[in-house]
Amino acid sequence: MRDRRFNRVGGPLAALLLVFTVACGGTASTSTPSSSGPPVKLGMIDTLSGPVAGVGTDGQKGANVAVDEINKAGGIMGRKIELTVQDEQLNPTATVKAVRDLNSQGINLLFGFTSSPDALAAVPVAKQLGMAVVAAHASATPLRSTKFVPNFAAVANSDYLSSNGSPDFLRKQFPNIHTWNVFSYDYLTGHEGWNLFKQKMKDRDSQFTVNKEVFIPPTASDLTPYITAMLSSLPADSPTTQGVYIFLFGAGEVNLFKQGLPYNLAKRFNVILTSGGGYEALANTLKTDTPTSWVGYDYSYKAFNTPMNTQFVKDFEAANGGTPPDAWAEQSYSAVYLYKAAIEKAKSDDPAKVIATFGGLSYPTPMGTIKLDPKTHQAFVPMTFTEFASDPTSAQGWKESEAIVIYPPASAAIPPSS
Amino acid sequence: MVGVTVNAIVLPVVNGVAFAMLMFIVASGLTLIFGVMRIVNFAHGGFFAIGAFLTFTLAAGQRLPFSEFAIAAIGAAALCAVLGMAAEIVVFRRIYHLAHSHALLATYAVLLILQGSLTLFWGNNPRSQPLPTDFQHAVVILGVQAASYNILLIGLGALVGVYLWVQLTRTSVGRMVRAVAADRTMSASLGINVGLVFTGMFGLGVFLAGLGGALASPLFQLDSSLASTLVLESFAVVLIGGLGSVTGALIAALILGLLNSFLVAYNPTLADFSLYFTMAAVLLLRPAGLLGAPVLESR
Repeated sequence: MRDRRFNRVGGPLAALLLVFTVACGGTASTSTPSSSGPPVKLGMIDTLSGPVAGVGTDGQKGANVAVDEINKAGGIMGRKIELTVQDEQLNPTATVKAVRDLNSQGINLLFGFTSSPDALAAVPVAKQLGMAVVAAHASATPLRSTKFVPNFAAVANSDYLSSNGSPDFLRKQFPNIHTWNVFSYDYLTGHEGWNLFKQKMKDRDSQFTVNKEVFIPPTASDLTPYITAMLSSLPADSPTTQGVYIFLFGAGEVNLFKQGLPYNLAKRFNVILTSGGGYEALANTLKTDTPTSWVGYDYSYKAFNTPMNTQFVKDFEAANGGTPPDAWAEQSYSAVYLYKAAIEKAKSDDPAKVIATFGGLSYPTPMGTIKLDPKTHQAFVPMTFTEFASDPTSAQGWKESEAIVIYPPASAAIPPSS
Repeated sequence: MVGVTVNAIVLPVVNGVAFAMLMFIVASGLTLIFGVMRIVNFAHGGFFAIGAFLTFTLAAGQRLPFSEFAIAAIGAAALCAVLGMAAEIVVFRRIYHLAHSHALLATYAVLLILQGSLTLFWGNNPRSQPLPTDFQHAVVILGVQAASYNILLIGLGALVGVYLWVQLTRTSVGRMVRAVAADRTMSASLGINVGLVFTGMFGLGVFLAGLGGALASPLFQLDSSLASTLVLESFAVVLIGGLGSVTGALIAALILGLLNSFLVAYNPTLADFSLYFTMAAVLLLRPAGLLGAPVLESR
């Protein structure tokens, strides 16, 4: 009797569960070309759920624009691109599963990867399976040095590059700020980025000191204890004498500023520098609560006066209700164009032949033509610095300054040990 | 020296108790539902998120005076309660007599529906509900600056705790609820409308989830991942406090909130593990939780 009743209720429930698992879970979404030729298959693995889903969802929007542009222009060597997307889930196990899933579908040219630990897990598996991996966002130095494998390339700026570029900018823009603090996620890239930042600041400023280091677990929701731990350490003159380096992104960064608002957290520092893409999304979320802060990353849509950037911004805004692209969107967009350049150079989409072109490859991006380092396959990208601030008089509630672009030397992009 | 000592103790206490009260409000709904209906409601996080998003919609995402924010928050929680009662009537009522695994599947299915609804109705772009205008500043307590909204959370958590205690122990409705929780067959034979009690208690449990979401909305980015925010902590609170015990949930929430707050202040490396350590320790020493009794089947 019980079983029969379960069949009446449980059967439809199980079907419903299956439908929603497929609809909401980590399975692939595919944009299928209409051309008759065999498509060039690209796989995107990026974080589409969880606290930093903005990285992957914005990245997917950028990749879709690149695919549409290339397909409308005739594809790659006359073949349309077919893009398949899977959720990285901010989880190395899920990432490796996605790599194997895509491989089993015959998709061997991968890009994306929000998290460096996920990318570090995926790269050796991809190598074993003969797949190419282009890191659109993951920035950890080991991917480019101690853990480097030839099937890897990176369009994302590296921690090493950021840690060289940011101190150069800060010393020039804020020469009187010698004491720094940090809020960072408690994970590989967070610690590495901050340690490199400290080292490079010491190289440039003999008076450089650290006041307080606060590392926040990526899954933490109540940030008040972390905020008050920082505030308790600050002297009364910190608004004029100290800066804070913020290595957070996604929900964690929004929650820091939201929960820090009653304490005037942002006003307790002379300068806030955040390192990470997608700050426009943060400002669109916080609106008039957006703190006055500088953002240093590789791309800002206002910074580059190139025909490709003009077209990218126009196409992106048309596809996304007038919202301009952020750095995460640009990184995925450029990853697709990197594959286009590599396939055209190799005259094949065979992964082994594509991988063979990575060393020294030049490819077009909205920032201009970018070249990969012959040895580490790291892109030599510029860094842009933009100031965001609240603006109650504007419709969006915030404003941004013109971007300052710096072009670090090649030596600043590649760790000496590589 | 005295100032340093007060600062070092009062600040973590205020922070810890405030977050504990938010956890308690959410977890009390979870433990009520288990206590009466004997189902572990995985959809609780979904109702929490819906409560937060409904508050954002009812408040139009604007910075409002507290009186208007409170109307939006209570309205959102009430709408959640209606949704919860509908789910109880349409889905859960049909599976109370089945094994626990069926209830787990059903509540998980409802969670997926609620998560899908978040994206369907509010899209993928994150949202932010500003703090009420009366509670966006810090206040000084014993020489320490504390967020006034945190003080509000402490007060509201205490209010919810007192209300539930009075309701469950000092009213005829509470006696009926306890009777149904103890033996639903005997209660039905004595003329208690068990179905109505179930629907009402499920509605109250989900109201508390929605209220927790509404109160959390000014503190967190609102996105589709919100359904998993605070849920792990809430399940831990229910397990540590004892399944079905509201008082146990309050004590467990205070333990976890204070422990996390002091560890972040004095040993941040351990803070990330405090929830798991506490849960493991309590379950090893008292498998039924601090105030929980071994669960008797009353199907």
